[in-house]
Amino acid sequence: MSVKKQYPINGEVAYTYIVSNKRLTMVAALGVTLGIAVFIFMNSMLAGFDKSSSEAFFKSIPHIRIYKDDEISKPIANQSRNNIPVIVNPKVVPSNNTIVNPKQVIQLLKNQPDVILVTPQLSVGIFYNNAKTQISGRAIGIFPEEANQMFNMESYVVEGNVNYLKNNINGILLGSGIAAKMNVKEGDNISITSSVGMTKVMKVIGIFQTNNSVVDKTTSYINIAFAQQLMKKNSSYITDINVNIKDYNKAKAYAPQLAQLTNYKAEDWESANETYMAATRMRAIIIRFVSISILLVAGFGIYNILNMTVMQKINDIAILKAIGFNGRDVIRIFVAQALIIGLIGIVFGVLFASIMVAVLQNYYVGGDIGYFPIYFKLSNFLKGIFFGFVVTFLAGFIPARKAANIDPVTIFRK
Amino acid sequence: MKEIILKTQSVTKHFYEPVEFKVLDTISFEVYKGEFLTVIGKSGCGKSTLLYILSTMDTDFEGELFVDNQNISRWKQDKLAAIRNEKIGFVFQFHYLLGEFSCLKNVMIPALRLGKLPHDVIEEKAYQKLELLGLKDQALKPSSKLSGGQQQRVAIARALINDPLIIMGDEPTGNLDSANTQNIFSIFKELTQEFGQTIIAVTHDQDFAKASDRTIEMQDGKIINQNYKFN
Repeated sequence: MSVKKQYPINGEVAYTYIVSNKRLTMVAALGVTLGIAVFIFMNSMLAGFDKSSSEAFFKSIPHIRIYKDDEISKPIANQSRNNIPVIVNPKVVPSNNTIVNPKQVIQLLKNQPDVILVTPQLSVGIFYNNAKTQISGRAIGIFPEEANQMFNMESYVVEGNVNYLKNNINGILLGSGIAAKMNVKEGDNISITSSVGMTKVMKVIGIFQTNNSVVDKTTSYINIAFAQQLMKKNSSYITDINVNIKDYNKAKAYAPQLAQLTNYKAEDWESANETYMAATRMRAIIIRFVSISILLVAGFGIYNILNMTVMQKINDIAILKAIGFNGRDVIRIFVAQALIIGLIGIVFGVLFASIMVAVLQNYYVGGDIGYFPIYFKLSNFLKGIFFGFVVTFLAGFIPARKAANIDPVTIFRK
Repeated sequence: MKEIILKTQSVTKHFYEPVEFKVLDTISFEVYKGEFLTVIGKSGCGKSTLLYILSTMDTDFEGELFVDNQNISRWKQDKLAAIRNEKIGFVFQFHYLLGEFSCLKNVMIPALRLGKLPHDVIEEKAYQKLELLGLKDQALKPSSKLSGGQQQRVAIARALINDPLIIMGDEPTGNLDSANTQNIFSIFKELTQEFGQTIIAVTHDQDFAKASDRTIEMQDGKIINQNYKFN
């Protein structure tokens, strides 16, 4: 030990208090552990829920959909000069809903920095012909490869393969509900009739199941070129362009930019699904409040225990002050003690939370959810650690500061 | 010419609980360097209260207090702590050691706080002080395991560790048998005579007071005799 370097006597005093009151230290650390573990665990669950429901969501819808919205005719005159009432009767402008020069629009979108995937699609109202009955439904024309990339279609194709569409111009990927009704399996042929009266025989190249029964009972996927044929249109007939961006949480902010860029309506997934988003937000608020409550309760518990340790040592504080320790030394001693307890608690809390997350991650709940949706998210752990340190710091600092500013004699006289 | 090490000017203190009560009334006196001063008086005359004020541990008073030629009456807590650390050693009436530390550590802590000497030198010095007080064999025991008299002697060793200018004692020999009292007395004598340190002790022990250089007598919060003569 060199002469110049101050011997860390404050640290030694703090260490001695921790070691000589093991039980109290452990109880306090356990309080921190439970608070931190539950906080991290709840937030991991929230993150898992969000991720799994978004993933389920983006199996059928893109981050941003670009389409031509109906236009309402504008009145030529709104008001007359002589207060004569003007009767106006706006109507939808009779134009088709196609995107003009889609290739150029797609190229324009692809050049945007945040855009990662762009693919057009064309929805066609059809009937599935089953002997004498017709089941109404919807065929979605896609570019199989691009659509697979965007919606991860492979993950819900239960029979056949989405890539077979590419090689079969008249291939069709059927929803499981419609396949059951039509009593077909992969390799069979079915006949469909479009809303404009075109009838075609299609080859079933696969069956998908999204577990959304409305989708499964009505929807099928076909090549976009074939959809254009069914509509009796040429190859530039496109109604929708689907866009995926880097961060789907930014879709809402990004959509207006794309709308301005393309001059078409750009609808982000959140606006398109307000009800779902409201439910998601509500769930997030509930979980956040629960986890903050837990943090508060745990924080208060930690505070109480540490406050008790300071109060127990009030006589020692007076002695330390009497022999020359100043207020800052006293605060340092008890903050150091609190932070060591906090550190122990946080280490075990993180460990405990990791175990809980790992266990639940391997719990199979079934359905289209599969394994319980919870996952390790670094930011949740960092948040937990941060809160843990803040709470333990305050829990040591506040009572110590109180004790640091009084005359030693005031304590001795009590 | 005697050098003044500590001086008070009309120090007055009130207690407000349970009723207002003037515990010290315009106390003015001087203490000289190398003096062995004792304060006597009946129980409740304010001598302990006065000693706490002199030791800077009680800042709630009126009047002026000079230590080592500095008026410290309105100094901040932290500056006073530094003064106590370096210049004043205090022995309490009821020992007041840190129970979770060994005797040796208790003695070392003020010196470690001061930080002027390396750790091993401080340890060596602490052993010497304990030996002086006949406690070397108890050095590594937790201080809470010692008898009252032993604890008081550890507290005296602690008061000596930083070689303070002034050593204050509130009944420093109150828990000791006559042999140990005699020993402490001779230590105090030696400190004042050979090292020029100053001792201010509050005591009930007539013999102890009688043998000191000067005795102040207090009554009802006032000094009634600056140089008490024993008959």
